[in-house]
Amino acid sequence: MVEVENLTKYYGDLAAVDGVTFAAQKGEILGFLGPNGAGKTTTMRIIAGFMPPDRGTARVAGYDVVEDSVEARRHLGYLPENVPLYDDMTVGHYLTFFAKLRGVSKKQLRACVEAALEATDVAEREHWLIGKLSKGFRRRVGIAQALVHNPDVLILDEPTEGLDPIQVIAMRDLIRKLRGQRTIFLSTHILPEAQAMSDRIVIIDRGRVVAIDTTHNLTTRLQRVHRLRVEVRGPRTEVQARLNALPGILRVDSRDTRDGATVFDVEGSMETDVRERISTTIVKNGWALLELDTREMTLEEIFLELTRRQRPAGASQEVAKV
Amino acid sequence: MKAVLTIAEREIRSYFTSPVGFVVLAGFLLITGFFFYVPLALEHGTLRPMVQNTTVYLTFLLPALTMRLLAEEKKTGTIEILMTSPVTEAQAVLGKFLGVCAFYVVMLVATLQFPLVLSVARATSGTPIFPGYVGIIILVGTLTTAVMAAVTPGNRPLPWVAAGFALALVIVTILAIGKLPESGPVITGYLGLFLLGASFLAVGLLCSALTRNQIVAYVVGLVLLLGMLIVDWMSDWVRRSVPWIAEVISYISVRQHLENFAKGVIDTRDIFLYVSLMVLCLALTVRAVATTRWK
Ligand SMILES: Nc1ncnc2c1ncn2[C@@H]1O[C@H](COP(=O)(O)OP(=O)(O)OP(=O)(O)O)[C@@H](O)[C@H]1O
Ligand SMILES: [Mg+2]
Repeated sequence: MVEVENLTKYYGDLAAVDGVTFAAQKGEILGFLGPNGAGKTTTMRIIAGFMPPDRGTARVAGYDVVEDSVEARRHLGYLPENVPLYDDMTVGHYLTFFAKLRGVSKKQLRACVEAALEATDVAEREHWLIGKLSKGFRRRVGIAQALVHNPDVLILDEPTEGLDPIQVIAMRDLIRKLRGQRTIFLSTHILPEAQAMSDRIVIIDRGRVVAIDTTHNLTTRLQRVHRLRVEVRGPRTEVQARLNALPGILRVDSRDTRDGATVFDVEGSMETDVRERISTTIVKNGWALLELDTREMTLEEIFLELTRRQRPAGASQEVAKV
Repeated sequence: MKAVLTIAEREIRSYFTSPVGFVVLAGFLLITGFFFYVPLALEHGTLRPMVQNTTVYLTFLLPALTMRLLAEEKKTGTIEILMTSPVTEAQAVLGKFLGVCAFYVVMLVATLQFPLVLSVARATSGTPIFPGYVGIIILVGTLTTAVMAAVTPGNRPLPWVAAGFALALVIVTILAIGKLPESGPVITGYLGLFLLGASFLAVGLLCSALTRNQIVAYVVGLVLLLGMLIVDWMSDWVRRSVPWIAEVISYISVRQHLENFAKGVIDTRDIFLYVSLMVLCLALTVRAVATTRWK
């Protein structure tokens, strides 16, 4: 449904997108993950037909976005990153306008607009001026706009950015609900978000793809160690020695907190669940277990991990020489 | 074509829901009214002073209508949604141009009161008085319902009422103009005004495509149009010394071509000038949209 091959885009000397290749199948939700300035928006703009790439090709529903631009655009709905809408129109008119513009027939016009209003839960705001909507509703209207003509492909640039936690959850549900036969390509720079919403994830950094895999594989592949944060009130060195001695524990770091307790950053092996051993050891020794928490890998750690792995042997020495 | 009309319709509607449209319309009526009524009071009633002076104030007013058309889309980023819809640059530009031209036609229709008043004024010289008064009432009715239809869309009867009024107005105007001793120049004068205004709008649209700042779009449009006027004034000045330059200038002068229309003369060369200016500007606008978007 979406095929991107060797896509490259320069801004002056800067390669904002540098040889990006991936594909999204029909009915798949593909997450696009990367830090600020990684090139997500640029890639999405190219796929949406807003600007041509300097090199490489992108195809939507089989149509090249440069050669068959209009036809490709007929098959997609696009939510730009800052949700630019016509503020002086009402929601209903706005959706009707874009439905007409994208070739929805007169007979189906009302049905399509209503379906989009329903799907994004903005029906009760139909007669509001867009300029008066709150941020969350604005974004929902932006999504309604993207799907009003029932496109095969949805491209959503940071659909959950700037929403409150309740709306984030609603948005996730909405995106899952929208899936059906559609291909959804959505970007975010928040890892749990990408995990929660997508089937597969493309990770991009400084214009290059660093990993493409299913959400499950990515986390398990990367997470070679089980990271825990254990907060204990007790003698620091002794606790540390005891924890270190436990089977399955690879490493323990410690630091004191302000209120007299100690935090131990523990790395355990993935094969065994060490949480039970840790808690029983601490409790048996009569120390107080204040907190035991599994730490998710942060995006930065994932990038470090991925780039470290991708670098061929010897590359690190080259870097060192420079 | 459907895409063009859809975009045009949205633009017309936004002129009726934004203050800019009304400010320009009101300003236009005020100034044209002045240039119509003052000569009317001073001497014989004719439309010629109004038509002739129009070039000057359209120069100031029309860029205000076009300045937002593309600059605003670029500034707010809405162009990203517009141009990722299945429309070509040409369709988008043409739609916007048709939209603003349609609003300009509304402005011209609003000045139809002047020929009507003229026919009332002629009543003293034996012409029936009623078409003028009936016409003014119908004109007010048309404009009111048109504005109401535009600001309360979805209200189905209103556009029909407005269309009915407009039709009646056209009939009455034709009757009234028929009573005028000078009906030819009135009709051709309006044709000339339309062509002149449309070419000014095309210049303004081009300026709007070149920047994302509406003020810049307005000022550049104004300067271009003023430049055309100044060149035109210079033609009188150089006529004595270098006549052939004056010839060239008068050939490309938008104002002097309007004069022919105001006299009641339709010359294909006059029409050709306006149409070619329009086509040139629109083509450049399409190019500009394509390149700014693809940067
Ligand atoms: N119009 C532009 N002119 C020049 N450079 C640009 C332009 N747009 C983007 N860039 C640069 O291209 C790179 C990629 O930008 P892009 O917006 O695609 O990143 P992103 O992944 O969407 O980031 P974010 O998470 O912040 O939205 C950045 O370094 C950015 O500064
Ligand atoms: Mg971005």
